[in-house]
Amino acid sequence: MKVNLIKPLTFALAISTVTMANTIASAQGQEKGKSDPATAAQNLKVAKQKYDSVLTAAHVNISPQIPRNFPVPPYTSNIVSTSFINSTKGSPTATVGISTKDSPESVFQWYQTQLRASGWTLTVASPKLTAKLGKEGQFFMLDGAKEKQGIKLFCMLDQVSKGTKINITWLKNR
Amino acid sequence: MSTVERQRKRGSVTAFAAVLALTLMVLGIGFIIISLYMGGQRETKNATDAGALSVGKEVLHEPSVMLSPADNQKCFFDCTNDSINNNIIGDGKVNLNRINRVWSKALLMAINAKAASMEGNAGSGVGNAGSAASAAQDLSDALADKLTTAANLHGFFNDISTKNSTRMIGVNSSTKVRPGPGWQTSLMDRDAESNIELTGSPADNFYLPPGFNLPPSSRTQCTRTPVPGEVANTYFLKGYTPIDVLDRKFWQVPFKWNDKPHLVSSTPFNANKASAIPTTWAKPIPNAFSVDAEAKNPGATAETAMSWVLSNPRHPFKLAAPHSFLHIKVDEMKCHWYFYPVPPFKVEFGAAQTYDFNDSPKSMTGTPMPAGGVLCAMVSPPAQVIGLDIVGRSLDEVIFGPPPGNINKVEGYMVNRANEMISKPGVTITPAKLHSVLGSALTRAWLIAGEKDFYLFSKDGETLQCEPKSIAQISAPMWMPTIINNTPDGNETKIIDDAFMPGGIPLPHVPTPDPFCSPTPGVNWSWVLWDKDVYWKPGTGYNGSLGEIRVKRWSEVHTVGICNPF
Repeated sequence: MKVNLIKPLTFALAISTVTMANTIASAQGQEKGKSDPATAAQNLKVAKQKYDSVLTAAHVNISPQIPRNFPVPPYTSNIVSTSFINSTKGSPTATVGISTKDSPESVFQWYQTQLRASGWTLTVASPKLTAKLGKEGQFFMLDGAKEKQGIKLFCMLDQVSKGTKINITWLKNR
Repeated sequence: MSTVERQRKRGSVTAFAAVLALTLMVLGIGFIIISLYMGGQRETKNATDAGALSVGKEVLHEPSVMLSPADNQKCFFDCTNDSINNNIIGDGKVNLNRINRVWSKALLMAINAKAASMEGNAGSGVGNAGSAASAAQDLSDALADKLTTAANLHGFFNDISTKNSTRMIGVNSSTKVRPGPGWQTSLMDRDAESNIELTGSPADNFYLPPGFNLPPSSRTQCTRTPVPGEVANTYFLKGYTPIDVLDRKFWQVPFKWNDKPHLVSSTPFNANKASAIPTTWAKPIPNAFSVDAEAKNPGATAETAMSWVLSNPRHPFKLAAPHSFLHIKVDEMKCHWYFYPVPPFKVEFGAAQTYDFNDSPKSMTGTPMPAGGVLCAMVSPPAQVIGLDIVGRSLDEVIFGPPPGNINKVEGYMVNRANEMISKPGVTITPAKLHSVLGSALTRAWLIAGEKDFYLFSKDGETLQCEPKSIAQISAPMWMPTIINNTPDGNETKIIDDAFMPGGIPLPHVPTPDPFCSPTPGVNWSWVLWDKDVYWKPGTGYNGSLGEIRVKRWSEVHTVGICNPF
């Protein structure tokens, strides 16, 4: 079970304030340290260690790159950004996020073609369902199954860029 | 030859003929008397056999015992009809045809309570199951008293026996009950099957509650020789064999599968009387009856005959609780926002936001947290798409869909309870069937329409329905409205505890650093987790509720803000 510390905000704030005060004192007392590359590298290292401890506690791993062995082919046209997150405990699961300038419909069509060609069995949400959700033309989704793997793929209209946000969740041993 | 001699000779022939005629007449009369006697005896026996068969058939329906309005008897109301259709309402009478249904439903409640107690969440289930077992015992004892009171059966005998001719005894004669010690009962076919079938086989644990094992001595396959093909792979509860659950004994009356009520000889009948082979069942329900009758002309000597009949309803049922349901409850979904001021410990900050099936997915932004990260003055989570875990999902996906967790246990409970609702022998609710029902497009529509409470039940005893409250009450109008608000008698436990998985796109963000600090490159991310808890609250079926599955889904947005000194 994840450690769930609800409301120790006061404690956290106190720690943060103390840390900040120490840092300020340290920065004021050691003017040299500010521009000292060795100290800066050490500070960076400590910060990254803290980040790693968060990911370890949350049992996830995050990367901006999609691993090559991810079982669903990544969309490659007009890409704005990509991200990847996977579980490090329990059932193997991973989620890929891709932003593209292309339209949701064309992206979704591309994925259907690619997945079928790769041997995935697809269940595609009917337009009736998306209409019922009030997102006709803006939201597409499908479920895929292949051997003991499953995927859930969503293509959504990005209201800001008018491009598409792609979210692919992969599960093993379904 | 002279005339005198001729006349003398003719006289002796005449005398001989007369003697011969007399002899033949005596023999003829004797033959007629013997024929009448034997014919009368045969007619009496035939009439007695017919009357015995009538007893063997009619005794299945009467005498009967009426249920009382007490809760522990009321729970057997769904066993007081002869149909496998759950929507057919009973008449409240328990008879020989139905007593095995009553005992088996009491057994089922005890099994459910036992399984729950093994997991420590029986609640008041053990008490309720015990109360139901006592009621079953009371009903059984009262019925046994009536069945072993011969006078209650005399009418069934006379109705048929008097219609049979005994003209050889006399025009006005008829075969009627001869009250007395000739009217006996017996417990035949011991260890043979009852008319209660189990679902499945030992390989699938008869679809009983996970963790509970039915003692092998409690069950049997068909004992007919040869075994009819229709039931070659079917298991039944065993008759006149105590089935021990929760320190109580549950009983069944053996009725060999599809065996017609038939006459039996006195030898096995007498050999199986309770007095000949005692049983630990204090007041056993008999399945065989002897009858004693006589036929006579007024003022003449009576003909007497006895017959022995083995009864059988030829009506199989399933080990079931026909008027029952499983409640499935979907909790309101919320999105929680977490920060890491002191890694790796997380802090929830800002109000959780709700999302639902009818408005997902949607973009959500959490409240920025002052000092919500290491050396951060402010951490503002970027907008995240929330609700991808439930959007357009069926009830099956909501329960069993990702994140997975220990779904086998949830499935085991649900398949077990679904089978307990089915009354029709031979029908099995497999996991695939359950998923098909829960995964119907209708459940998607109902979820989008805002329904959160669903009821799994069988209206016809053969198929499974999963419907929201209002529809369920219409589907089973005669019984569902009276029980649908009842809650399970067990205690709730969590069977999937915070199953989680990455569910959204990790997004980079830039925290506001404390003075003299800058955001650490490559570590300031915000990501979404899908989380799921599933709770199980077992019910024995005492009040109709076989349990409750509660699904709690939520999303967590975790935002890490880390800065480092210059």
